[in-house]
Amino acid sequence: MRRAFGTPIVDYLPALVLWLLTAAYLITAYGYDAESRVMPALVAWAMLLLLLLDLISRTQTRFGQALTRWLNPGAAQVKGASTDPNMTRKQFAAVLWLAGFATALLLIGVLYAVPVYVFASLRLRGRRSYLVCLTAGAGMALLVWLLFAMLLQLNLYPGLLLQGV
Amino acid sequence: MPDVQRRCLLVSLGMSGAALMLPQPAFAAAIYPDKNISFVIPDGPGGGFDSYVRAITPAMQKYLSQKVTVVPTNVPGAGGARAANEIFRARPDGATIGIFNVPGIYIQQERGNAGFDLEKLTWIGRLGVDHYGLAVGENSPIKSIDDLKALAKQRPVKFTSTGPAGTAYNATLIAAHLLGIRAQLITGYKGSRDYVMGAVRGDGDAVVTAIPTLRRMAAGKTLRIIATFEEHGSVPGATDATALGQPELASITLQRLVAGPPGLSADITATLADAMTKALAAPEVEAWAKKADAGLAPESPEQAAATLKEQIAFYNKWKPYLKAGH
Amino acid sequence: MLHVWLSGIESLLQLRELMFLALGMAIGLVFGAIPGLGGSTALALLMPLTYGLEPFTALALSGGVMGAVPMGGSITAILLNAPGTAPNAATCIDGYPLAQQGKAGLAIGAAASANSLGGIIGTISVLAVLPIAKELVLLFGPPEFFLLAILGLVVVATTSRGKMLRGLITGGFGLMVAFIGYNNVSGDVRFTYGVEYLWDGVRLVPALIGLFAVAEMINLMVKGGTVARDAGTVKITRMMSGVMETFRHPATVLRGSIVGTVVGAIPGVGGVVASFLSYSLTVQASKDPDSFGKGNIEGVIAPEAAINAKDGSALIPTLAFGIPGGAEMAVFLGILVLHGLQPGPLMLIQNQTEIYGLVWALTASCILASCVGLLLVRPLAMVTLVDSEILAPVVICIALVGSFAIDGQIGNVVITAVFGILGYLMLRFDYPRLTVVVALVLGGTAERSFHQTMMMNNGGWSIFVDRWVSALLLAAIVILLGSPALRMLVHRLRARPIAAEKPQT
Repeated sequence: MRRAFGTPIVDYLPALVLWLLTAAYLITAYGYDAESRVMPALVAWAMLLLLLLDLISRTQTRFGQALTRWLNPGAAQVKGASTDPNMTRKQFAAVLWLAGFATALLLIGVLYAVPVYVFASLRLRGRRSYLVCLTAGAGMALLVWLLFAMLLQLNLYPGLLLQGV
Repeated sequence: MPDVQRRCLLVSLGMSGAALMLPQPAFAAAIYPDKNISFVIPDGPGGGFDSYVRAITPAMQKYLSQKVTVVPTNVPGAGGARAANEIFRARPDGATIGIFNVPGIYIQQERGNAGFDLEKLTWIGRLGVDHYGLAVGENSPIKSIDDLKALAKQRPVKFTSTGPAGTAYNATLIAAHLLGIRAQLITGYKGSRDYVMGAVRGDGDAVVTAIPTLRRMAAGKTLRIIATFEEHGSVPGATDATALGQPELASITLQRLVAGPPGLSADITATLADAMTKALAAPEVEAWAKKADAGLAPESPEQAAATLKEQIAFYNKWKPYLKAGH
Repeated sequence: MLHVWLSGIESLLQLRELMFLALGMAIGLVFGAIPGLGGSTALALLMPLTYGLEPFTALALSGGVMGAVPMGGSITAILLNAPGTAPNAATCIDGYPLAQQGKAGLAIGAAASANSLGGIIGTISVLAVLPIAKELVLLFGPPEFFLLAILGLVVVATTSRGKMLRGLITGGFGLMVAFIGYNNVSGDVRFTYGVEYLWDGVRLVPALIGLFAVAEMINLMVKGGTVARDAGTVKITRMMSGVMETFRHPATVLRGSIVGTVVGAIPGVGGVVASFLSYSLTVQASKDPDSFGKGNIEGVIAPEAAINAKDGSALIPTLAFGIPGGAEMAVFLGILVLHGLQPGPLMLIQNQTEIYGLVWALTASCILASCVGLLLVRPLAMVTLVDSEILAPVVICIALVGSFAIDGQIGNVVITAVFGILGYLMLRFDYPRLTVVVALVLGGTAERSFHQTMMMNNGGWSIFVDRWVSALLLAAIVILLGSPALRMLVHRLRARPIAAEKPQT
């Protein structure tokens, strides 16, 4: 685990990434005319400063620790590194399932993505029997259809692949 | 592919097949209308356009030859551009029509990457038209247009309004120009109710908005109407365009035009136009219009298309002045 | 005055009106519970059905829906960290931890009674205020809106106890996101990078659903197990003691109701601010602020009281001027117009029976919904025992599809998914989510009102002190900003003599 200023690099990542995004935001803001950019620019500059402080507070240096005590005492009790060695893998998996479902919704539409996702999730992650997976998938599709298509008269999104928008 | 995953894939496909068996839209038949008609509204439920459409769709259903439902469908977003796109890209089978705010939607089209072209749509008719008027707060010292002009000599008159993409912004600037009043717009209000409230509160000196709204506020003694931009004023105590010597003021309007996708056949257009006109004359619709103070002003398809062209020409004529902004 | 109140109740106590009230209540409860749907969707759905009804019956139905929605929303907020409606997000913060501790029954019981009490107090306030409603609404203009927005942001930022720096960062992030889209003041479009969907900006409800519900489901998927950490500790019989909890914290209920009533009456500020403000103020006033966010029952009572109080007072600008206090009110306005009732100053004079009847309908529905919620506590609390592998996909499904259903835009799904991942990251890296929500809601208002104020006053700042309401708000902000420092000072001064004996922590 590589460290910088006494703290694992991983712990800096959120603040660092956000700092870069804010910088990009600020640059975009300067492309707008004066009235439009006042507030966004102000907020972005403040954010850059705050994020810098956050980064410093994560270090083990004296100044960093002082900052933590003053502004972030609640975070001083560092959450001990989780005991689960597979944590990162599980996190990635969970995020990927979500992203996959969202993508399915976009590509094949609501009515097909729902049963596919529920079935796949129950089967591959939950290891439930086929009967349970099938019923759950069909049930969810029916529920969604009844509630949204029939009751709300909503046009369920057909998906990019099935009916180019 | 591993056994488990292949089975999963097969079952997923099977379930999709089951999903396909759920009701699908009926195939096009020879007689129109053969399926439900979607009447697209560019705003959320509860707005002005929404009320108009929901008031006439039940009546419209009665005057169609087949028994179908005309479904009011809200498609809010992007200032009406989303709804316009949906209608522009719909299949020309008469299952999708929509109502448009003209010239508001034209301003959206001018934005650039809007994706639709109003002049290519098949215009069916009109539900109503609103003229604009000018009002001040109930307690304002301003009593007439001349007072406003006098004020303008000292400093710009402040009008409350929506942002530059809104109809009110343009209406206000055009009116101020025609009346010869130096104007400064306080923009940013989210909707007509908001900026009218601004005038009531006194954020600005005056406000330009549709007459029915002004009448409502005046009846509650919150606003005083000084002028109406009509040929013959309908509000006692307020001057009109003719008296002000500016008949062009009457061209500042909000048209509620109805259209279908490009390429809609003449038969279908005629059927829809006919049903709409009859619906607008129906007693229950007229009763609603009276209670809600909503003007009903039907037009034929040709008239509607002509109105669109007029409004576009009017707006284009004023574009150079509007770009100068406040 | 009293006789109008009574005539309102009288008109309501007809069989048909009561039936429609009950129907509205049932619909409101269900729609309130499902994230993405809510009062506005329910009302929009019922609008064509009300076409054939008498105006008063339509009002009874609408009141039924509006009164029950918050209770529905709080149930899913507590059980699944999935706020059924945006204001319920504040209930998640302490309600969900309670569910995790197996105390779902307690939380729902408290929510139910807070709902009812808040609703009643809100109703009384509205009835008292209605005669002067016009003048009250007119007191709030752009300068006041700007200061209110700042006040809201300051309150919430100073509440992130022990995490102020991170709270400010997430708040700033929320503001940055709030600026995306079409800018009504200058007319240009910002930060959309060409994406048409973002023209209207990042919508609040999809973001909320992602930030709370989806993020929590991701967390569940990673941790495994059930919502209730230890199945054995689920005590469903705590329901009645939950109901009693509300009565044990009268100050919290009162504070929440008043905040809800006041904030609800200001158009455009909305229920989210009411509930979060009420929550934040309760934290600040508490003797044990660090216990919040971990299952402090007051953290459930405060927002719930505020939400129901705000429902009544949101009617004030809606009825007095036709200015909807929120999305729900906008649809309700449409129903009024459809029935030929013109909201506006005239309505307050001509349709008093209808108005008071509506207010009573709201209150009755709110109490009824709470009772129904209580009846269903047992089966509902069972949800906390469902295994995550079944619960997570189901909730994610409903969350994403519900998000789509708000206005039929598939872009909402992307927002929900993105904010879901963001929310999980915030959970994991210990950044508070509360400030993002408030910043998202208030960012647009703050900027817009500021520019409007400048335009009104030709760039001068004096306007903030010239108007007495602004001056008051300014003073409140200064006091709030100064109070943590003041409190620390007082602490230090008091601790000095004891410091000699106590070891340094």
